[in-house]
Amino acid sequence: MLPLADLQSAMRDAALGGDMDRLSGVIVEDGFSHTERLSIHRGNTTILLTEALAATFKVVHKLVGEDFFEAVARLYIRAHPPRNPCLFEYGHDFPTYLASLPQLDGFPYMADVARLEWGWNEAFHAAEAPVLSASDLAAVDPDDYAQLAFTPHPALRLVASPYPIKEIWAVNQCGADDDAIVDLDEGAQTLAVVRPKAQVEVLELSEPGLTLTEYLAAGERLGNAVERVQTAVPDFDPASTLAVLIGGGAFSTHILQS
Amino acid sequence: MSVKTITKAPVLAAAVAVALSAAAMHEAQAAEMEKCYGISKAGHNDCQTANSSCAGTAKMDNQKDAFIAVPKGTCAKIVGGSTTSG
Repeated sequence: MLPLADLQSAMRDAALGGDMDRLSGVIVEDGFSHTERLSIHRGNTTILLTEALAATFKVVHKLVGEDFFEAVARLYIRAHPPRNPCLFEYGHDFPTYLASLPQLDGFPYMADVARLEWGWNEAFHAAEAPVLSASDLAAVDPDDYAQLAFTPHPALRLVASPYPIKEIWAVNQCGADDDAIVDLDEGAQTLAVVRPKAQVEVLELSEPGLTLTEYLAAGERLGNAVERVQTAVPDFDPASTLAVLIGGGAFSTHILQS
Repeated sequence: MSVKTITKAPVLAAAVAVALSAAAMHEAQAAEMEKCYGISKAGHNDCQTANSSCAGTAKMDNQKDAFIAVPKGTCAKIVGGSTTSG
């Protein structure tokens, strides 16, 4: 008999495509060989994890088609098995894995679409927290705006791409126009994923607006953050970015830093 | 620092004022939506038919590691771009 820890790691390896013969002496065969029995576990493991990935990366699944997705998922599962017990947490490395595949060289937007879907997934499962609204800031003296600092809402995620990934995402939602075509030359997109009112939303920011958001999410004071962005983009006006962020529930709380 | 802050403060005040009124309008529109239990998955593509997990559970792994070389999904609808075959 194998010690329990060895038995478990041998089962894990077998389920993930590894050697089955370490278990040859400990499985009662009874009509099926140990490899046949372990192949059933391997099949279940692969199907279950592939479905978990397909549930999180629905748009990628639709874009590449079922056969391609299953083939990629099978390789990914073996290279990057789950590290956490919750299936909704599985797939963190999947966008990077997609980016590494030569088969997707002609589809340079695919990994970014996957990043958006992962951001959506993380936003969906993020902790509940208050949402800072415009009325919460009404009491702040305009002379003190430069001293405002925010804590980001736990759901806030930022995704940037040289491609119009929000449109690609949108035309692959159910109920979308089947004849819709997306032109990749529409250009770069910088997006914030938020979850106000218990629903995930994807908001568009400008490129300097995304930089401002990163500074603010890191806790920088508004005055400093705007000045830093304006060092690179002198005519940057923070009004539209702040309207999108505050209206979209990107922040949870604010304080005035002296 | 103080000189810089004083000259920039009115500009920032105006920008934040614009942002707050725009954000308040957005919030007023969104306020009609009632928060119900749980978190809505609306907007997530969830219209697939029942999946195959039950159908697959008694199958042995078929070991087909042959990599399918060409994506055959809706990526045909994404056109243009310098690196795509389009």
